[in-house]
Amino acid sequence: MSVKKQTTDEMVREEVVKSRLPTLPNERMLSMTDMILIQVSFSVATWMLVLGAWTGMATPLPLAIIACMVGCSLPLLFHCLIGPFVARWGLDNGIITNSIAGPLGTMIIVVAITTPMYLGWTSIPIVMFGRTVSESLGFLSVTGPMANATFWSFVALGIAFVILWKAAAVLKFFFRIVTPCIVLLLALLTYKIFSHYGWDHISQIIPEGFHKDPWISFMIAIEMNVGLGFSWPFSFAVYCRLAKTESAAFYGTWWGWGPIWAIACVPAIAGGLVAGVTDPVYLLKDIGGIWVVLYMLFLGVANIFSGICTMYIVALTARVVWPKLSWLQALSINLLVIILILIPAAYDQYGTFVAFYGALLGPLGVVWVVDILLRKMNINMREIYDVSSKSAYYYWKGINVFFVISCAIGTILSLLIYNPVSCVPHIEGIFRVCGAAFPASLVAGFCYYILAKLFLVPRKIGFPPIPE
Amino acid sequence: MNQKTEQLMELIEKETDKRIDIYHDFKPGTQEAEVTSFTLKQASHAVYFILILVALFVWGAVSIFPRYFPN
Repeated sequence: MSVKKQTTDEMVREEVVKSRLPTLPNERMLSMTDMILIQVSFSVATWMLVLGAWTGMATPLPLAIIACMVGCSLPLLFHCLIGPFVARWGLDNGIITNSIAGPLGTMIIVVAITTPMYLGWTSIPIVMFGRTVSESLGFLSVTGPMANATFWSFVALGIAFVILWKAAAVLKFFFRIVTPCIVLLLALLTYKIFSHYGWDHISQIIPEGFHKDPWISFMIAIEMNVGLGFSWPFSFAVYCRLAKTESAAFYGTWWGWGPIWAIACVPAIAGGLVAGVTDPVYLLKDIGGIWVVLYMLFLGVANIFSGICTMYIVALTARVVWPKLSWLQALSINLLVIILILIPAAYDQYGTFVAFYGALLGPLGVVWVVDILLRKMNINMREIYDVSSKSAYYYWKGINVFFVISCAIGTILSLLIYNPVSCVPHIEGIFRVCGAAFPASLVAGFCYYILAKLFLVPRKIGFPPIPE
Repeated sequence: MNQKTEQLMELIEKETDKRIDIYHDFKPGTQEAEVTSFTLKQASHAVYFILILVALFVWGAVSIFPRYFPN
């Protein structure tokens, strides 16, 4: 009997990290240090390298560092309240988003916005891994199918898939051991880049930029980084629901995805300026020797690790929204990345990809934070799990119309100010001062505040009584 | 395999119901909850960070940018 009970408890413990169960306070295992290390593990890999290289192609070194620091960190502060909200209730995105979007709205967000976005994010490290190995084998004069980048991308996807399938619960130990090693390696590579070329030399390089006006090119660099800073609203829940304190959920995520990410971008900015390429695989090609080997090693480990981080989010969210999926089935959604390996659109058009999602998710995150403030971080646990029309969070036909209207206003306004596909600002007066996604998000948040105060809060639609 | 998945589903549903009740009892955000809540004082640090980042942007605009592009 005791053996059976122990087995059940173990099953529950295992399911907490990969199902719709709300985590209980005594199951929270992530301290502030853990939270920072986990978010840093997102930072120290592909995405920051690509972002750094693209930023370096837009503006000189000191301005590029400022663009990264301000762009990554400032918008994120406006989204970070999602972290403590999630930590307080221990819920995943698939459930907690019901409070703002309604059950059907949540499903639409998962299917149409977050899953395609994370598949795009996942494809970037996976594609880069393939190109890295292919390039490394090229140094060793290996040719033919074994040196094929696409083949190695499939290998990376397979490795990440198997780790998540068999060992999702041990991710914490990966974060504690692998992340510090990667950070150390990155520090060494940063030292080498600057000692090899010299700060003076690198900071004197003026790139061609993305626009004939250098100030607009600088603002485009900021806009790309703002897009990154705004891309996290649906990443908070996965780890914040396991945070021991709400403060760790707020500042742990902010430090990891904001300032530390920006600092980690510096070697890629420098490498991009020197090498004149946006593809980080080639950043250290001119230095040569053991450093290239170390760099390739760094890319290899970090890319698989990054892939794991986003694949985990996709699988967990799917399993929360569709509880009948097994972990393997939910994880298999990530195999759609194969399309983006064969057509690496997100990797090769990173600037557009990240700025577009900034326009989409910036307003959405700020509206969500306004909603959290209006409900004073409270939710009704019984109602939020109820997806029927009787639920207090059902809104209208399962969708919070005012949330949709506010987000649409923000996104349309952002795209009216700046076109991320052509990199052309349409309303230059606004773009020159504060970019596009940032002011549009604030407008969206303000719209929602007015609409919710007028139509939702007084009628208790989506704002049910909280049990005392 | 299907039977195992169904058992697991049942387990998760029961456990979820149990946990919803627990959450109602310990009132998250209060001292009764074991998760330490986010205080206004802790949140106020974010305002300082915002000011620092805005100052960094202004410094870049008025001091560093003209060094590279004087006109």
